[in-house]
Amino acid sequence: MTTPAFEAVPDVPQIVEASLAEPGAWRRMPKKVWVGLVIVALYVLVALLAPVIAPYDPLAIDTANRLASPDSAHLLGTDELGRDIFSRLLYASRVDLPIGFLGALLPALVGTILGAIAGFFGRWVDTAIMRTADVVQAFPAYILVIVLVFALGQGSGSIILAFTVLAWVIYARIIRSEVLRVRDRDYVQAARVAGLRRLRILRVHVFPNVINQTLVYLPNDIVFATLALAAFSFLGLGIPPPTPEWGAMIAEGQPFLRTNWWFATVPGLVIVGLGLGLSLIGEGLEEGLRA
Amino acid sequence: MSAFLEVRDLTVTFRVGSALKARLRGEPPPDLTAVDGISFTAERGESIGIVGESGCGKSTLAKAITGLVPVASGSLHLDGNPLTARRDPATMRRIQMVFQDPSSSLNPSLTIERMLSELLNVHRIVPRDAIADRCGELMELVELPRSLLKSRPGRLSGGQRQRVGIARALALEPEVLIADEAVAALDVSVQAPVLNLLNSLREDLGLTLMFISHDLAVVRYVSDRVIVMYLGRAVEDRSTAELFDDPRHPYTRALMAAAPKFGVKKAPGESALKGEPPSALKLPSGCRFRPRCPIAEEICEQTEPDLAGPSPIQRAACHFAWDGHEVRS
Amino acid sequence: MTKRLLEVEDLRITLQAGSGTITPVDGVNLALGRGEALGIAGESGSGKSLTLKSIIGLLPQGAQVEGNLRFALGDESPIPYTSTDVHGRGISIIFQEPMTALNPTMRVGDLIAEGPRIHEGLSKTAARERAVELMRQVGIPAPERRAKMWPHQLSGGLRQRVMIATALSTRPKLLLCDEPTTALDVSIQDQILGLLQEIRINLGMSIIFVSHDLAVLGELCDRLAIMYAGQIVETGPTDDVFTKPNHPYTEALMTSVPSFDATSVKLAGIEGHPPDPRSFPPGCRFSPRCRYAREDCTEADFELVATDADRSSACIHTEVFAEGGR
Repeated sequence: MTTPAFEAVPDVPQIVEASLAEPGAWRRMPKKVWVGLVIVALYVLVALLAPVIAPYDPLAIDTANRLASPDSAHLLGTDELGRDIFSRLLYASRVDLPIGFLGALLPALVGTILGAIAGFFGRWVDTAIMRTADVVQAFPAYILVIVLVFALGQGSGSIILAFTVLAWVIYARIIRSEVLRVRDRDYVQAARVAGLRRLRILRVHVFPNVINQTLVYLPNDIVFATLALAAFSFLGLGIPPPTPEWGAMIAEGQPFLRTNWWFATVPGLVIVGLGLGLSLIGEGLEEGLRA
Repeated sequence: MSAFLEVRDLTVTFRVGSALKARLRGEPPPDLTAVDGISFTAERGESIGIVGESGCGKSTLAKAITGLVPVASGSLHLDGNPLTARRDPATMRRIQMVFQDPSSSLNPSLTIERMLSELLNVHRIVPRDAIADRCGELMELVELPRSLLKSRPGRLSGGQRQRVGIARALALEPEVLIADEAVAALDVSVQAPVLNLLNSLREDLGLTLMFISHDLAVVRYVSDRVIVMYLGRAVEDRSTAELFDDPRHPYTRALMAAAPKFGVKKAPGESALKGEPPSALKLPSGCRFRPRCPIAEEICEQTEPDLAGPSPIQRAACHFAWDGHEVRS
Repeated sequence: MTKRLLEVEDLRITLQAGSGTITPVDGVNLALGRGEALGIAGESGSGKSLTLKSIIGLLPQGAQVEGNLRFALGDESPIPYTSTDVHGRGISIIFQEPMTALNPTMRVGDLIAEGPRIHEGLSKTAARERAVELMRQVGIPAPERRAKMWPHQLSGGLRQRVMIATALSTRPKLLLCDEPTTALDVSIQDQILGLLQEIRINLGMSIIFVSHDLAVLGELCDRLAIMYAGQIVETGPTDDVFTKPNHPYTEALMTSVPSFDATSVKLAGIEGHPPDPRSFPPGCRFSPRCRYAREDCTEADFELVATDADRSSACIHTEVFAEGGR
């Protein structure tokens, strides 16, 4: 019997659930994913190479040369304390990127696992997890962060912890609803009929088929985490000075917007650039996995 | 002597509303009885068709036998051993199922080979180093090329997926195979080969086959014996030949009249079946088919007829089914 | 033949699919007389549904249509039309799944009354009365009460009747039916088919009924068109096609379905499966699955040739097939 490689498509081309595990899945991804990946890779590269490319020590104070305009010595001028803005921008990526990524990955991990467990096992497990999620969501986020920072002290650790405590809820909800959709699929029923253990069914037959949603949401969440970090630093809740951080730099530059507009604007643009790259990945993944 | 598969007074209920609300109103909890006291036996190697319209409980019956839904009351025995709600994997293995929808019956992220080898591995059906060979044999058994083992379900046609679904069930070397609307979603031209495959597998492997379908003609093609279900009850249980020659229950007759056929000139809309089935939550008094029955009389309003007849495989649940015959319950 | 109502000439539909384009409907010709019921039979991917939808202009976005469509709105002969000419007056359509085809946020009475209000300018009360009248006409019990219900409160059979009432509300001359009974139980299917037959006779309406089920088409239709891989491979009066098919595909389709009455003869079925519109086989598209296929079949140009007075077939070997066939 000969078997053509494709199945008969019904009258209107159908939507198939794609999986990233499938060979060739990455090749089918739209261009924007690659553009986004290149942008993000550039940021990572800069972060890794910051000590090599940065012309100055980001913490070196030079009171004689405060608020200098850009010139050949200081590409983006200097700040209030005479520190080189360009070098500080480069070094800031070593703070912002890890916190942004970890601040999204950890909640994704926690939320995905909890959401999957809630959806798959149902009953009291579901109730316990989802009611906790309700409580977290009902709690004012900024107050929670302030409390955590107050209790644990300022620093990247408390920020990441605060993000995890807050953001897992979204992942848990997304994944739970996906699991509920997949849980009654015939292939999951078939796995039950085959006498497979529940954890195995969850791991092999449910989890791989719901994880796409996490992957699609994750890049957007990294953007969100980076922006949130910037916002917290802007408010003085984030990374304590003098460590360079993009949000804090915007805050530092704000009083000088009239005279030294680039001081606050360039860090802003840097964040926008990263956000653009990550959004492109998220959007592209969504399109690619849907097609 | 007990039969190979024995289903006795099997009842499955689903909770449909808030039990708390009902209790506050002083009513019994709102349960929907999907399968309502079904009894039958099947011999090893027998092929039983279960036929009925949507909502008659035929799929729930299948799921209860495989252990996918809990049984409210009644009992199930396989080979003399009771099948309980919590079954160990070795027992689960003996009853396998083929599902209806080929688009959702296979895990989209596993290759066929991984899917089959997982089952062979978990149940230790063959030694580890023989798993790859066994996967190939299974593909041959369902008449698919071995090369498809490396594919994921997304690459297969509906007919091929359904065959993989059969291979998955056969991987566990079951004794009972339940096919729930296994060809309903397939194109007409692809249905026939799958039906032929089920027929030949049953003969070659000595499987007991339970074939569930809404389509009488398809059921006739694969079954030795047919059970007709209506609103959770079996209304007729006969050998296939007898049932099609001489249906005894008015519902069976109406179903046959309603189905469009080739070659037989029949004006549409002439079946005796008027109206639609009532909700299983609000069953009529007496015989549950009465409101739609063309031959209903007073007794039908008062007593619900038992599934009875001259022999265990000549039974019909109608007061008038065996007029002039000796009836044993 | 009676006066023509609809003519479809050389219909070709192209769609975007992934990176390329596909042509799921490829050169379809149809003619429909007034009061006639035509059945289009085919499997998934045959293009039968798209053909039907193109008649009323309901193709998915990005679909490109070539060819000529002509329809007779009045008593004259068919003239070219655009979909806005026939929406809400001339042509109505009913679908397979009434749950997704009925707006869930409107009461069924208002759904049915919408057409007459917009197209005939009926007042609210007059339109509502008409809706109840239509519901009675399509056999919905207690129409006054049911008119105030929401679609989800009705059973599948009743929803299908509501959809038919909605379609009839604009007094169409042509009713397009896209597998309207496939999702229904046999007993309900029989009732709906009976209803359609009754409507057709009482209102003198024409019907095009698309289905994968030849037996269903046999009950309702005067003529059949069998579609395979985007082309019509055989047409003819229903009874003639059933007694002596003129195309191997039609014959194969008929021998694939288990029969109700015959004792089990082994079903033939058809090897392989319907082709993908992305890669139709060359020549006769059925040839790879055809048991009568000859070498020249893979080079045959597609042409639907008249075989009898009112029959035609696209098979280039009808003579051989007729001898070797049944």
